[in-house]
Amino acid sequence: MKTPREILLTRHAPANEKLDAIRQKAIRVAGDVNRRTTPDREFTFAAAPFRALCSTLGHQLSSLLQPSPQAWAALAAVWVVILSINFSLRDKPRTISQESAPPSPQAIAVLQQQERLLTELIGQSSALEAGSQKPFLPRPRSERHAEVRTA
Amino acid sequence: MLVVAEREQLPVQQARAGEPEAWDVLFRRYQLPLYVYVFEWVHDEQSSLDIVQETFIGAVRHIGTLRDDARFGSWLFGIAHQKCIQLWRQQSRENASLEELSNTPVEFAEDPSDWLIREEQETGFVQLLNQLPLPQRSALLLHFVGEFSLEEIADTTGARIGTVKSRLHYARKALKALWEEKNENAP
Repeated sequence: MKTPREILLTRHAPANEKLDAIRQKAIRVAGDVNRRTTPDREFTFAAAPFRALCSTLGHQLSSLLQPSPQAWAALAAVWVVILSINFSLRDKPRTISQESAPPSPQAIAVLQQQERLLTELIGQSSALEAGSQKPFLPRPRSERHAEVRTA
Repeated sequence: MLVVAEREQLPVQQARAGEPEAWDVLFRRYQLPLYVYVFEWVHDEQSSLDIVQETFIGAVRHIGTLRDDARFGSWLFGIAHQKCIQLWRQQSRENASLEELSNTPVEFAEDPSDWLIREEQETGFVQLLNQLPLPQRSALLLHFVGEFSLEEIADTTGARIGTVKSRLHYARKALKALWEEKNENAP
């Protein structure tokens, strides 16, 4: 009398020879992987915990997302709608300012009058400045001597 | 309560450190059960050997993703299980769907050693095993060959524990029914 395990293992026992060869090959790969990673360990000792953290995070995330992909897809769709509404509202003020009506002729006339007044005022002030006496500024001594000599 | 074999201490930590001797011990321990599991899925020697090789190399490269050293066996079978599914999908040999069975948790009180089969019935038993739907066969093989717990079978196949319980229950029931039918028809 045998258990199912014993029956199955006995039936496939002849494959062991081929499996031994496969095992040897895999062990060689393990040796290669070990040789390739060993020198890096001295410099990147912080990489292992980082990689472990990444894999843990990835696993947690996948276990979180896997149970209800449809719910997550629906949530993503809602976010797309919210973002599109947000963008469309942000664009509105710019379009309003771009689409505003041109100024009326009266407003243009008022503006032109104000401009004229301003230029007049500026003109007067510059004339006044020209007419006023210049304050006394002492000249270099050499120039004063030349004036005395010519006199 | 599902009875599973007591686990021996395996040098998983040393394998993580890249010690080839540790890998040798681990692969030697699992090579034949893994091959049996894969073969009973794909029913082709060469494909089964290819999958075992890919599984071993995958294990060496991705040992960093193993979270619990005590679950090395089910993790290794999980890699092989995924490869079997890939091959099964590629070949589409069977039309049987991998649809989930009822998730009703069923108490599965079974020890693999309770199944004692006479020598003259061995071939018949394997033939009956192959008549089971793939998800049930897979769960039963992991139970028989891998001697895994319900949690480990769930981990390996990516199914819920309730589903695994259900699959094992229906597999056992179906196998018994087939067995009785066969014995009744026997001269």
